[in-house]
Amino acid sequence: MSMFNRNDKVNDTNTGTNAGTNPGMNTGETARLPEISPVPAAPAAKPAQPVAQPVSNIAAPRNIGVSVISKALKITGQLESTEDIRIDGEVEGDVRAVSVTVGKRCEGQGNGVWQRGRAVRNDRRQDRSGESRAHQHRPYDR
Amino acid sequence: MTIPPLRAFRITPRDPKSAELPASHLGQALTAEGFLDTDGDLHIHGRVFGRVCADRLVLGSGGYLEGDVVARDVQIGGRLSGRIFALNVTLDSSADVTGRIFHHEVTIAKGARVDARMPWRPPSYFESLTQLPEPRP
Repeated sequence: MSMFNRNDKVNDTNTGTNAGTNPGMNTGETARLPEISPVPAAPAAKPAQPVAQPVSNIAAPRNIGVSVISKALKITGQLESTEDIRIDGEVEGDVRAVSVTVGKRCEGQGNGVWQRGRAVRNDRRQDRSGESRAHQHRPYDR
Repeated sequence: MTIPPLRAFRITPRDPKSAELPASHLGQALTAEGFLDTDGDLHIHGRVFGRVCADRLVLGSGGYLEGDVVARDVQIGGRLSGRIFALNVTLDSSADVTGRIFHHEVTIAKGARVDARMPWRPPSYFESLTQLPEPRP
């Protein structure tokens, strides 16, 4: 038995018997322990500690698909989404989405289709900024 | 497109009594390219290609980020390919990170997949971070 052989198996069986409600079975399992592993039964007989699960405190938002660019965020580049985008911050670049909602205090320049403070559907890919790139992009199927 | 200057983050945590900046959410349907700069929180569940500067960045378990991250707190639950410059780095068990993690404190959950160098840096390094170093192979 190499030193890297961990006796996880022993702990597993032990956990199972501890979880069981039959105390008679428990003694039987403990008696069988030395056959499985030469490790002394004393540490293995301890109630197995639950494996420390890393607590993920990533808050899952209700609607994970909706994107919110808050007023503190500035994006220089492109945005592309198959769902809705709400922009309260600053976007410098192209925005393509099913619907783009632009907050009142939003700043932006680029080829997105929006008007200040109004929700604008982006279906037609109208361009209000002069330099059009709309023809390069195929609209999303809705 | 002009490259915006690097937005340095504050070493000290924000005062909770001060006005909270609303967090930004990039949903899983969103793909962003370019430079993302914020003083507040940023949650990424979609795909981002580019440089991200934030106070606190959370990459959700379905998120993918390719590029450099500069933030005080970084929590990774998704896939990241690039470099992290952060005081506190937390890699959740679902994280998959390739690159470099410049950190002061790092926490890696069991099960996280990390293929990265993790150089430790003092807080003064992050304080004086005005330009990212050239990426090395």
